Amino acid sequence: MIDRRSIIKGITILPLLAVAGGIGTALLSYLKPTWKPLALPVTEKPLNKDKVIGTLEEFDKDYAFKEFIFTQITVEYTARGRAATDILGYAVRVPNDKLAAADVGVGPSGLRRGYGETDYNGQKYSIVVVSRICAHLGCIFEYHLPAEVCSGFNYCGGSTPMFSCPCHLSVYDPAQKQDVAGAGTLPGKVVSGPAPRTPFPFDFEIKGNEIIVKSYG
Amino acid sequence: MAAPAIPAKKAVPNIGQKVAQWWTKSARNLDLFDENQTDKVLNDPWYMLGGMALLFWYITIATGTVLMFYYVPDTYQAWRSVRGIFEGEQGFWIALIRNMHKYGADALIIALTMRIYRMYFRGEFKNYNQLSYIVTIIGLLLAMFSGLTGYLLIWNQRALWATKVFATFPTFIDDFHNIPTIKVFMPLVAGLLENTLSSLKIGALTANFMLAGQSIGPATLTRFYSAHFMLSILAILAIEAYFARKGRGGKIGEAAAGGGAGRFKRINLPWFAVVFCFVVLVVVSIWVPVDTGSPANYNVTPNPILSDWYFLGLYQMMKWWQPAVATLQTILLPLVAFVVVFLDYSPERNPWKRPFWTMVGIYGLVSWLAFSILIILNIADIKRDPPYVYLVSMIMLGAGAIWHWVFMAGERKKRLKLEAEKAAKAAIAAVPQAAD
Repeated sequence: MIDRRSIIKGITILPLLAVAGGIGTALLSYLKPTWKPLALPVTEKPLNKDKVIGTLEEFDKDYAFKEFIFTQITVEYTARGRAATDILGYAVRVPNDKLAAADVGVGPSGLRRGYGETDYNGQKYSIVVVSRICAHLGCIFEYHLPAEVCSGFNYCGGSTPMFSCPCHLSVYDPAQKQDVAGAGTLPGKVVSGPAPRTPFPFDFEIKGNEIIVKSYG
Repeated sequence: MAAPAIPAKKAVPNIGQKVAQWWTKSARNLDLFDENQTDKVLNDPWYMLGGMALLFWYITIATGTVLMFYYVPDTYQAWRSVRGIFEGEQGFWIALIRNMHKYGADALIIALTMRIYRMYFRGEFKNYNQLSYIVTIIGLLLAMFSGLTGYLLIWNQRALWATKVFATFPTFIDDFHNIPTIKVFMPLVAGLLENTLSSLKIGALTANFMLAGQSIGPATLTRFYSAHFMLSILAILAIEAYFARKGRGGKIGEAAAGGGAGRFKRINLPWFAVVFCFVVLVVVSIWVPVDTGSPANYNVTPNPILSDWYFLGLYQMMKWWQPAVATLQTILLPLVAFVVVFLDYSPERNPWKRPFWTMVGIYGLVSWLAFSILIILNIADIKRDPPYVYLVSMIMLGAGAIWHWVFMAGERKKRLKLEAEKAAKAAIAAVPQAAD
């Protein structure tokens, strides 16, 4: 039997049902998978632009160093498609007898990670190029003389300049190598502090007298 | 043959009923700001801590609301706007309010911490009152997180690097399965962790959520600004709901006719204590203005760099332990504090009559203070110190355990002696009867 009450009830419930249906459809649409494969930018070669960070003439003696900024461009699943990050880095010339190129791990670009050797102008150059981001908790480390490392970073066991991080006093020796799980042997052994691994290396090559950084990580 | 009668089961509550009972009783006993201690607060200043916590909370929220008018949440202008307040561009009163906001929050954290230790050492969590203790600790964690989100807003060097460290340490959650103790002794747990936390990248996702992206930037500032505001507002709403629910009907201090407990004073402090707290806060705010430091610089980490004072203990821990272990400890610390009050289940409240648990509390307090002092001295060495730290921990906890055992043995001896005396007296009393 249709009476006045059921008609009013029906009139009230219809818009409520419509609203619930609208919200429900919107929520249910999340359950629908993407039918076509996503068109991500596929690229094999790195998006980074090579950066000349210096010339060998600037590294005239052992433990000479230079700081630089490298722009790392990565493919990311965003509307922009790529993200650029400025990474701070150090290049340090280390004594020739400390590291051997054959020991150091090879990166995806086929270059030795964070380490390179070359003969130029009758001299042998051994160069370590790593980022300044501390592998512990991401602060920016500095390059200090042994006396400064001893007084400021509580590590007095070294006689050469070291990378030393102000946040939790991790100290890295650029001229020593260390095995890192999943990355091979890398320069920048942790000699003090809580850092779990060596600094993140740059892939670079030395052409003529130019040091060219290609990639990071 | 008749079946043997089934004996009536003794009504032993199962675990679910026990939990339900604990929850009901604990919820009834809930006392978050010492509002139940209306008599004690006049005689014992330790019971002013709850009222002080809420008072400073209100002050922090009120001053924060004013500061929102002057603060510019933008990486280019944030530091400048706070610096402007510090230099007096907005006038004396706004500078005072900014200082009161900072020192009020510090006072809130001090009051909550001291209240937690008071509850612990006096055994106030006993007899179905653990929930008050747990909620106070959660309140302290929220206050600390509010503090962290608050000091990023200044966008100075301390803010930037503290946030960097705070957002990076959760990434080591993905590395829990590599902690040697877990990997070697609990391979099953390690496998489970690797297939859950690690493969889902929970740590990286946490960091990503906190920073609103891959690195600290304008989005992080907005996120922290909202969280800073939201946490306090939600907490204060919860507190209002708590008081409204708890104190039904009647006037303050009188039970209602309908059976309600009566209304409660929110800030259970005598008027002179309120005035004293307020005056001290204002005097400190005028006397020691909060400096703004130098503006944030992504390219330079200053040496030394310290977090705000209440994170210093954790900061020192980060220096001494492997990063994954330090992260696990940071997460486990509050859980341990929760569990301890259930392990100490004896009805004894006197701290000297439960020595081990008192020692655990002293150990926590001493290590927190010692860690904080050591980080300021900047003399940690991960290769030299850990054995000593471990030794001190073991000595303190071991001494507590031995003390506890000796004390309990003494108590047992006393009890046995008393019982023997009683039995002897009873025997003497019984002898003449037998003679009759």
